[in-house]
Amino acid sequence: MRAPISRRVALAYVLFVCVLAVSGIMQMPIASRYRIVAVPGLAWLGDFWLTHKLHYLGAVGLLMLTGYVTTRWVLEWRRDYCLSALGWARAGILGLLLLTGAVRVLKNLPSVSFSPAPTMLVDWAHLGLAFLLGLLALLRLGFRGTYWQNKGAARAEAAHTRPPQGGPVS
Amino acid sequence: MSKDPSRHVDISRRRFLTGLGATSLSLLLPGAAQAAKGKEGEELATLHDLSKCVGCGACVAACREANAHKFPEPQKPFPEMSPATVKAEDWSTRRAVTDRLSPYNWLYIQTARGQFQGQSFEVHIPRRCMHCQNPPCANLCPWGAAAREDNGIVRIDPDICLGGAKCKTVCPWQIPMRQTGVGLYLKIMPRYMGNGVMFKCDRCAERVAVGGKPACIEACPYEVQDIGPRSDMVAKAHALARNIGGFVYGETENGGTNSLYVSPVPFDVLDAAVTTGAGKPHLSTVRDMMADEDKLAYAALFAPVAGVIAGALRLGSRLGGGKAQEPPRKADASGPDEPGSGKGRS
Repeated sequence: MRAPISRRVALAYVLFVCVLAVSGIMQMPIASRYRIVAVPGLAWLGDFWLTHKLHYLGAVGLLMLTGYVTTRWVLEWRRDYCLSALGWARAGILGLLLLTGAVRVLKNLPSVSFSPAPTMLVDWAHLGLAFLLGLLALLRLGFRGTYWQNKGAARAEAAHTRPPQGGPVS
Repeated sequence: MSKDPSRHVDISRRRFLTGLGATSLSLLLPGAAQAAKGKEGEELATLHDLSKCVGCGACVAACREANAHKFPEPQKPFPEMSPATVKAEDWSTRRAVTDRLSPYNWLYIQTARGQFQGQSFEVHIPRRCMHCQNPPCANLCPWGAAAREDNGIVRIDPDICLGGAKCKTVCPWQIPMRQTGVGLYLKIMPRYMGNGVMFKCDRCAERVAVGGKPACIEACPYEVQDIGPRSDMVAKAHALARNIGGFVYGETENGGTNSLYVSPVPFDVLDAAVTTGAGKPHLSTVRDMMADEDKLAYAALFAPVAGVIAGALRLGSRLGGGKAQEPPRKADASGPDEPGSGKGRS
């Protein structure tokens, strides 16, 4: 099925999500412990400040893309397309990821302090949601699913699978 | 060590960001977010008058006594860790060490001896966590174990910390110290994740919470330290510096800390005179480590707006310039899905 978004937008999404995934995982102190930094060309992954800034930059890109795609969807694409169950799941997870990320960015501002419990809750939720998003992407690949459906096709499919009701209509 | 002239403008922008974000998020996290400098009380800062300190060590002894119940009691033997290059850090056999920071010694006296303006000097500097106003340790901890509290205290939760030591790496003074064999990591995957718990001064948080003073301040026979609202302490530090012709450290370091020092000798001279290294923090100028992130937060705030505008403009240009070239829209499945159609793709 043809996607409403262009290849450029799809590639931008993949790029931002990859940057966020790598820089996000590297926020955990694993690059040095597991000698990833010893791999030629990957020493930069052990620089927490660099990966932190990259994470912020990736978030800026993803937020911009989300604003763009949401606007196009609301004003234009939703006339012809609807989200599949996978699509709704991705939208929900992405929304929560962006929200928890925004809370973390707010907490990192100099004159804001959160009590430790909500900070931890947000951190863990952000981490868990990121893994869920990755899992969802794998599920989609595994089952060859789609995030959206053409409304006409969805209707035709529903009519095809629906059991016949009543007699023939004249 | 010196005042940044751009700081005033920067704070205004931060306040704008903070206000905007906090207002929208207060609906989601009621009571969770509190402005540290709000009506409920300004954050507390400590002020060290180094001209009074004789290096007697009473503060160090008081700190060790007051916080002894928080010191780690590791389980031994330590679990094996993978890869084998990961080393355990064991201070439990060196608990008596007082000439540097350790998990069992959260405060120590650094001594600087030298010459300044033709006169010899000897300055003693009680060193512990600086309790930054915007602490990288708390901001970059991926596990939420480190946090800054409303009263300006930066704490590491020993029940949550996994001992990854990222807080130490990103701390401009490398203050937190690790003890292996304690903490949550033992209950998860001790071989593959974590390596103990990070320890540092929590400025006697329990005492301060009930209106008391940190043990080091109470125990000092020379009243080297004072504690109070940060603005008062900053004013006092400047007044003191004027009186003795001295210098202030900690006011602008890393964007501002809640541990201020006033010395009759410039801090760059002291920094050159003290022994620095592991567990022995420096006294050099520190830029605001989170400054870039603050700017990026500003960009992140407007990124969705930019995306919405870009989406609306794209639609406008399609409707304005490309409408005549588009085939009529069909309600059935054929339209956008026709191979090579390109309809709806932009």
